[in-house]
Amino acid sequence: MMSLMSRFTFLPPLLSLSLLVITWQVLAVVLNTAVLPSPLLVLDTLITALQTGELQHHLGITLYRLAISFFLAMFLGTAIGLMLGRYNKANAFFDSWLIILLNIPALVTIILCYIWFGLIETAAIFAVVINKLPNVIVTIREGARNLDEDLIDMAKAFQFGQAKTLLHVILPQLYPYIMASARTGLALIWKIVLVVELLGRSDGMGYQIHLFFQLFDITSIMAYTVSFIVVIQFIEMTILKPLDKKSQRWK
Amino acid sequence: MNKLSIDIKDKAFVTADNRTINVIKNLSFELSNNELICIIGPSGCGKTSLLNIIAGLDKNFSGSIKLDSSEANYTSSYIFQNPRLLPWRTVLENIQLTSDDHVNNTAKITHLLERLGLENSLHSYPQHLSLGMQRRVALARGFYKESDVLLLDEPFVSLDPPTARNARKLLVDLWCQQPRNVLFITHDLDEAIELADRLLFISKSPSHIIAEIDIDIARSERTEININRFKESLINNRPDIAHLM
Repeated sequence: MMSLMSRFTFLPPLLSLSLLVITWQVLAVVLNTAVLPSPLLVLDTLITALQTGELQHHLGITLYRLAISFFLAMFLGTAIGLMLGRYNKANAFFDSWLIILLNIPALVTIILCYIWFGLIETAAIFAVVINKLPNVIVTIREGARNLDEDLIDMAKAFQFGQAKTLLHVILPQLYPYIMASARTGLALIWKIVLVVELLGRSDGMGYQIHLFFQLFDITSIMAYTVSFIVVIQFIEMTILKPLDKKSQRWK
Repeated sequence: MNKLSIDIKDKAFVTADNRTINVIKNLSFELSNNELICIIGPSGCGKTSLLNIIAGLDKNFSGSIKLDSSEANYTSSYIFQNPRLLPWRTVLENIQLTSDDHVNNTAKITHLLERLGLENSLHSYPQHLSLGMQRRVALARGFYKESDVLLLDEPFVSLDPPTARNARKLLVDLWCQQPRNVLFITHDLDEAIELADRLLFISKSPSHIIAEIDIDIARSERTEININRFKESLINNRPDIAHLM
């Protein structure tokens, strides 16, 4: 019974993905144009790029930038969001800063970072973090405002101390908010990392895609896109989903 | 020894429309020799405020709380009106978290939980337990932590009568095995007479103590009949506090 059930839950996503690929194949055949290569052609290019090692190199660099800026943004955002959510005065004071940061276009912060700090790695990562940070802050701040005061009083009454209170009382309550901003964060950071690479780096996916654009090599652009869709799916399945499950086990 | 002197001169808070409300005014009493005191008073008289001050949750008051006449830190543990267990930690972890010793204390906790009939729930999450069981876990947590005073804020209030009776018995059992000063808030006079060494009657706010009654019935003889008899004589002899009963 269990194996049957799990096979059925696996089936619908597989079906919908196949439908997508079939639609793509049909469109490519019907339109028969150079700007929409068929899935088979893209797969072929993908394999070639893997064989030369070029894809791994650029994908690796992009993933490295993604990981550093993701963890920096999540860590800083959680700390700042928690503080703003808990202290009304700090929140009232910094609220306008947050609104400004939230609304500056990504392109502007990226270009300013490159102008102020030069075309260096630090500037690239800093630009990505600055773009993601306000979203994390806003989400975590919402969570921090909804903390259960009864449990915090309990921690005080039993003299938990700050570290224990944070670890066992506050963070478990923030967990859904942290997961939500991790998910949206991953998606947003991908997009920004690529723009940052396009504008001021000489490696990474963004740089490569820019190059292919100039060469009008649409097949390669799509092959690279497919490769990072696979990576994102992999992260979702192996890291985010299990984390979700683990955090739900007490419910 | 372990004499806790509570002397609250004034506790007030300011409402949203800027009125100052005096909750407690000149309330003082002492707790010593591991006695169990029940505090009785009308609802809204600041009983919970009093416990929060003693527990150190509320530092915004004038007055002092001293242990053996020194202002040095005393420790307290608290059993709240609702169990307030961490839902994401197991029963065992919830109790372990209250102590700082890093030695393996599982055996001691298991022993405590066995006495409360919870030996099979060691690794359960609180949400999988009934309210009565959660309250027993809170009881275990309150007793597990060594403290100079144990505070209880109507901990059995929404239990059905047989479960509440059981819980009261467990409370007295645990207290006899691990004696300490206990301050128990209730609005139920029968419950108070069953549990306490001494009753403190509190006025409506700004609250202060209006009567102290020692209960001289031996613990083994606190049957329903004796409790009722005590209550009746109290009502007849003390017309000044009859409105609080």
